[in-house]
Amino acid sequence: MILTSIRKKLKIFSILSSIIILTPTPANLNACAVSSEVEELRYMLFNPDLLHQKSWWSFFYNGKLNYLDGQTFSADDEEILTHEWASKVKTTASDEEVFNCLFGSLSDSLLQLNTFYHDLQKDPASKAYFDLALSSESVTNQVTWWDEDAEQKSKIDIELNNTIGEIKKALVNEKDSFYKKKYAFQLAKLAFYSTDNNLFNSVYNIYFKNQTKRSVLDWWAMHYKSVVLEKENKLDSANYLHALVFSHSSNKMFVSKQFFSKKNLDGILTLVQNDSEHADILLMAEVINPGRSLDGIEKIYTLAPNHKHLPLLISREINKLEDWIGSTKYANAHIATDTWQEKPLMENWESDNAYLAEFTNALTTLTSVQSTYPDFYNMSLACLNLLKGNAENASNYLNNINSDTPEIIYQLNTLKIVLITQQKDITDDAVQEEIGQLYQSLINERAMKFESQKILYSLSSYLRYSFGNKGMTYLAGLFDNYATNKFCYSCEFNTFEYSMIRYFDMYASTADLNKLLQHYDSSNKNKLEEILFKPYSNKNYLVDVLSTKYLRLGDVQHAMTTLQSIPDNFWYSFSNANYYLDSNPFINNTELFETETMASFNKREIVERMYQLEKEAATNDSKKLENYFLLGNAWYNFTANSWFVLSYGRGSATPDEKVYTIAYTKASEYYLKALQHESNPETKAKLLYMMALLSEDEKLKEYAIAYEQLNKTDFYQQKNCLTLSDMVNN
Amino acid sequence: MLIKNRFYILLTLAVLISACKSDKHKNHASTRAFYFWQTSIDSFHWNDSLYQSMKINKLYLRFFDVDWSNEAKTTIPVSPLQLEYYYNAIPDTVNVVPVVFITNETFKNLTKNQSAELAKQVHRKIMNILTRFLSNEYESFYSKDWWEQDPYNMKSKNFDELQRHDSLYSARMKRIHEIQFDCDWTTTTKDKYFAFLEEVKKLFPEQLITSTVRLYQYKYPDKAGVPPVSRGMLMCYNAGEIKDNKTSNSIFDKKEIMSYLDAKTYPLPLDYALPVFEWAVLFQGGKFKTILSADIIRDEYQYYLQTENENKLIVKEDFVYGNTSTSILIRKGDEIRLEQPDMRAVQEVTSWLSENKNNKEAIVSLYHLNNHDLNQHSKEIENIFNSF
Repeated sequence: MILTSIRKKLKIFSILSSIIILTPTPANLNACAVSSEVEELRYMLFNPDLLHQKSWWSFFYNGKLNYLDGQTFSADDEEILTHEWASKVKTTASDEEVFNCLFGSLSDSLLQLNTFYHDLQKDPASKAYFDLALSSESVTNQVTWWDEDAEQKSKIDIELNNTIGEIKKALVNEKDSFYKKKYAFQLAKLAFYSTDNNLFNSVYNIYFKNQTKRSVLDWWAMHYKSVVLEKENKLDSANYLHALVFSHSSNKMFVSKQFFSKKNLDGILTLVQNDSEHADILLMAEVINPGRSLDGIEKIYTLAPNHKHLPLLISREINKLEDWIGSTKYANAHIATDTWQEKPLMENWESDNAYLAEFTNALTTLTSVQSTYPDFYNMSLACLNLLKGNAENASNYLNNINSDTPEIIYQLNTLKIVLITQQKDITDDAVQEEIGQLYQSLINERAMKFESQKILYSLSSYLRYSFGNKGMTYLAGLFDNYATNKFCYSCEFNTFEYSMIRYFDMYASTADLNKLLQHYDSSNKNKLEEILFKPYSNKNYLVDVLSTKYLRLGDVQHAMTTLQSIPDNFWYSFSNANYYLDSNPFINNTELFETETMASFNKREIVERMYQLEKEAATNDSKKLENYFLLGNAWYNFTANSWFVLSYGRGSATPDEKVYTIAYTKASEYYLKALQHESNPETKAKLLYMMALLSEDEKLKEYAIAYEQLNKTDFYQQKNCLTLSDMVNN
Repeated sequence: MLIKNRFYILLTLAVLISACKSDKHKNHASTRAFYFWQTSIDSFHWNDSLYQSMKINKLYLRFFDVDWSNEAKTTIPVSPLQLEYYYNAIPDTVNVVPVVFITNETFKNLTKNQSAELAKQVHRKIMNILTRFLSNEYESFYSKDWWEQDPYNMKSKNFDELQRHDSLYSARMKRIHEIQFDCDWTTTTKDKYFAFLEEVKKLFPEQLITSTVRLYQYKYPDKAGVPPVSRGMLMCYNAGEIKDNKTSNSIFDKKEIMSYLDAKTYPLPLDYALPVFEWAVLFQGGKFKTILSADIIRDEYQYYLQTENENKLIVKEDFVYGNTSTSILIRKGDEIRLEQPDMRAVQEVTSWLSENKNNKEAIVSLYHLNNHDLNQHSKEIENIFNSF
């Protein structure tokens, strides 16, 4: 099951050349980093499917991978044909039955249960066509199979020739134009799949080429023609037809896009017969354009202001701008800040903002879009204005929207939250209450809304930024949990326990965390706090981060009092703490060959013992040596064996290696203090060795020399360190 | 008429016997236990069809050993169970009993108070391994991939992850009904071991604490004492002196085992552990050296060995056993005694125990689960389970 899943993922990823590190972990214990999927990290507040066009899904800027798996298609073409047939046969069957009979690949037994099939049987002309079409489709399927078996191939060829012969005969004899067109299409299709280009071209030229008004079958036949032209290397002609088919046939959109190349766009454009075709070519070129499309959009609008795919391009452009500006600023940014150091990034961002303004202005001039799709138009401009930070304009556009469509209301509420953050003081409790109500409604209503997870991920990322920017780190961290831990599948940082505290681990101060816990304990939470704290049924993870922050400051006493509120059982259920603190940090220093003993401590006990050892050493001289030695070991182990005391992800998840700085400093301090009280050569050798290990340059040499003088000790004999020896001799 | 009557009597008897048998099978089919004594959970092929067909539903899992370190002058954990590559190998339907083996040497070096302190350390270590063992099932949290989902019906990650984590943890902890301690205690260490058990009972209030009982401890409860636990596991093997090169089979000698079993009633309700394993005992100059894997000896070092009799091999040439830092040099002239129980005798003793068990709930657990012995003795294992 796991392997199947992995294979599937790899296959999907190879299609889009995305990068993912699949590190199957035996348990959620290890601090392995798994990279997030790039597509999931894109910022996208604007729902590109507001107009409910399933045929556009594969061409949205933010392409969820399963839009490309062949399972996602619009049946618009098939529905047109369904209605044509229902009308022709004058059937009493439902549209669904007609559709299933024609396109459902029903088995013989299911066909017998289909009313439309029975109606077809009653009319000799339709029965004759349907029977022949069934065998024609069957032969087509066999022809398309790759088969090396010569005997089998010869059998299929005979069957193919017979079927072609029968269709040719039926085509000649048929007087009814409806059935004649259908036979012609079957013949063209068979000729295409059997690579009989002469036959295909003759059928195409007679029945499909010069149509004043094209039907679904004309566009499908044109698709075959475009592929024939590809094979004949007539690429401009092929691309010209690909673009026309893309604009007019829902069934062939994806394959047309796959074939289309705009390498010689000027050459392709010389073939156009009218403005509509010109617009089709430009539209196809922009659908595959990952960059700026405003020029293309404006040209298309001039040529065909009511082009049905124009809103697709507008949605793509809004999503592109959200990605270029928003992903950088809100979603991928580790901390809420505008002070980016990288010049190219800053320049790009400024240029993108200029383009945002240009595009927003241009959109206001597309009046036919405004009149045809008023809600879409207003929503688009509201979204763009919010991205610009122009709340007043955004508010006006949002006020123009008056719809009871659930998708529109959902999008409206999403944008209203952004609007509130730009118009009101989000530090105010009443404003938070208002945001909380809307945020909760979006969470409640997310089912059956297009890509609602992505919208909520983006909104939560935006709110993380906004609240972080206002100094409310404690709320920003809680939004981070929603963004990455609830609405982003691949945003798993270490373990889900770590994902819950990741933001706090990286950015919160002890003051932020104390404020967080104060709000956690408050019985008077506003709606926003209520929602944001909801996933934290166990507060101890947050308390633990606070203690860690104190320890990173070297404040053992506060760390201890903080940890004392955590019940012992918590440490057993906190897998990582349990796993990484399974030894005695005071004794088990592997550098000193100390073996693991049965004694082990949870985090509270470690810190309590540190506090007691320090206190005892301060008042009892006879304990100084031993206690300082143990404290030195403990702090040293926080960088090695017991790193989980100071960090949550060694070398990866926790902010960076700087969290260990305090441990190195403290370990050196304590070993040095112990050294000052030590006379036993064995212990002295150990202390000098540790001091050398923790020192640099001249200090290191100084300790190395002292260590080498104890070369008769057992410890030295065991730990005959060549590096220290070399240092002394050089 | 007489013949006819006899026929009916026999028929009635047969029906009664078969009825009894089927009842018996039903009872014992319900608990089929094994000890798992290897150091890595990965050492056994848990998906092995033979193992799965046996429907083992109780596993006594060795978590770690506790020994005394003369160097560190303290107790040390030895060979904790490795769970690194463990992916839900043991399903929820299997009742897992953590087992900790504590050497008698450990208690020789501890005071009674220190033994109670050891209980706390052992408790923490067990909890530590249990958490890792139980946390393996959290993987299923993210089973549905986002890119496979309908964009109009996306599923969020669980909003209640933490509640689920905590409730799953406590639910799984509740599935641990029993914890067992294995110690070859003696008259001089019994008080300390028993003090240890008393403390452990306090630390695991939700679990049944059980102790293994060796045959001599069973036979002489007055001298050896009775552990303060609710249930014992009588180890019906290793009665012979393994270190004596004159012993023919230290694992299982029916006569010797029966001489212990035929004792008076033991004050604790007991389960019974029986052997299904083999080993090779190495003697150098007539003195016991170590225990080796009989399987490895036969498969990999046959070339260096000469067969003296069915159970005894003589080393023809020096060779190194093993490929790691724990490899040992085996010298020319060393003797290797291959030992395995006579499975027919084990089955006979099982049948006897079935008739003479000291409580109705008694079960049989086989020692110990490994692929080699499972394949070698699958039929006998099935018979042993069925005959209890």
